[in-house]
Amino acid sequence: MLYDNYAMLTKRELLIRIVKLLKEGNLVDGVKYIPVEMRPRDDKNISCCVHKDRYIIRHKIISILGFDIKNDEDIDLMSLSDYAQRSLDNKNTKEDILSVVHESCNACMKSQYFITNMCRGCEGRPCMMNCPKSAISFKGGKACISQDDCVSCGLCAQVCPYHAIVYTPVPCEEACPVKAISKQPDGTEHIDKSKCIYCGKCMQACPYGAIMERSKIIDVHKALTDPNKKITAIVAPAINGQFDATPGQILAAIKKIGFDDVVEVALGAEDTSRNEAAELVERLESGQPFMTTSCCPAYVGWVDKHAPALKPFVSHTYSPMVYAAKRVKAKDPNMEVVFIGPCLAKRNEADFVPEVDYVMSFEELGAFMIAYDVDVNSCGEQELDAEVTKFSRGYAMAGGVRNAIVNAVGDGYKTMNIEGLDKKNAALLKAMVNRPAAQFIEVMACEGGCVNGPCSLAPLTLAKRQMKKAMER
Amino acid sequence: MGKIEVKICMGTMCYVMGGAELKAVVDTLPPEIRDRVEISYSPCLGTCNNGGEPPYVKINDRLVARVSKTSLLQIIKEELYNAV
Ligand code: FES
Repeated sequence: MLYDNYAMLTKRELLIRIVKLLKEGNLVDGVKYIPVEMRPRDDKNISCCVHKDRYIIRHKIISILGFDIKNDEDIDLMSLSDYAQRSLDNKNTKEDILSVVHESCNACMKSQYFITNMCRGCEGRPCMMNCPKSAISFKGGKACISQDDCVSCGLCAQVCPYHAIVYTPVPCEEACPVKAISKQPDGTEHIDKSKCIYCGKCMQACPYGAIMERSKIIDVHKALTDPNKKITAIVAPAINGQFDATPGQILAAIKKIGFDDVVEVALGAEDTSRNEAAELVERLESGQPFMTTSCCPAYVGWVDKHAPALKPFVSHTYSPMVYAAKRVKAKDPNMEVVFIGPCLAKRNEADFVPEVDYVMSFEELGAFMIAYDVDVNSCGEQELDAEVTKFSRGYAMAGGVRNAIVNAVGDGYKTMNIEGLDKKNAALLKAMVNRPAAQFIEVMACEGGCVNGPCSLAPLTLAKRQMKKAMER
Repeated sequence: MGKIEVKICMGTMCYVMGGAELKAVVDTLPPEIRDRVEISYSPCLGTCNNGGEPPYVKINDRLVARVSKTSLLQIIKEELYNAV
């Protein structure tokens, strides 16, 4: 995980500035100053010069406004103000959930083993002797790797007595658990939608912040301020790890932004637990050996695209987001619903859920709170829905769904939970089809669960601590 | 020997712009330093108005901008060094 990095803060600053402009009703004019204000002419360039820095900021703004950043010609011909106007006119129809800001990408070398000038050209030359592909030769007294022959086994780096050989990774490719992101001939990265599960790992890993997610803040803001519209925020249970406050305080703070109502997604988790528990019992009785959860959309996407054999074993119960949204719409069909969470894959899930109108991240929520001058600790307490139990708020942490199901069906079943979809866990899961290790398996794509989602504000250690505190209150 | 006061801003602006990280800093303080600092968390220090350079931390009434986990430790050490 890459916390404490400036690229992440750049994105947050952009979100804050844009929401502030929206609030002031000054987006169209104000947006054009952002690149200059954020990248002033001083000697602190990040890339080659201030112009490129500003150009990158510009691309990121266009992405946040809800446009594709692939169409290079348009991007240079249209002003930021034009983009802002089009966005306000509902023409921000970007579909891709993740896109690569090509201007800031392409700085990475192709991943490879690389001989540094610490190489002393020793007589032993274990690198050369141990290379299974004879890819290493010596030129001018220094080792040299033929990239055409190298298979990246890494033996040379292990045996070099001078640690002169380094591996230069491409962070996004390294982070992607399903090999969905790779270099195009021009050096920039491309995301293969047929493989991507929207776990958000690449976005977090990129040290340039070059991977941007689709944003709906313009639309949410419009719904918030339109007198003819009503909008309810449904907030993922992971929110309780994001701030040092009680669940009631957090809900009150979100409401103060201007939502007509704020509902805990944990309320929907009550429905999920109930139905999923019943489904589990039914499936086991009918002879199926095991069932996995379905609330993590990155996991469900992974099954769809990479482990279809598991598909019959994934629960059909809706996720808490869906139940929560259904409850809101059942009460008032004209109410718009925005899901607010730490998750990137929910943006994809929601595309197929008619009850959810928009998805917003915790980072974006933070930007709204700042622009609307909302402090979590000073907005009072919203009364909590008595139906929500601590088991439902616990969905946000790895093991939480399992706890909720055990609570519902009793502990007569063998259960387990898997967090993270790294190689080891992926293999483990695929093996379940033949040798199930438990009857109920909770799967979350993020290590630690949703509290560690790619769009969170608080680092995991803090989020866990705050989450536990909130659940005890 | 007096303790130095470290007031970490937990206002929304600072919190979102990296202050959440600072909250974890208490855990990483070496015990000999831990005993000599008084850490507190404060609502918005009132400095972030137009953006500025959050997150802010106040060390004995001195305001420091753009603090990170590592720089906070550095600043605390310097302040302790100057105090003797
Ligand atoms: S939030 Fe820290 S100074 Fe305002």
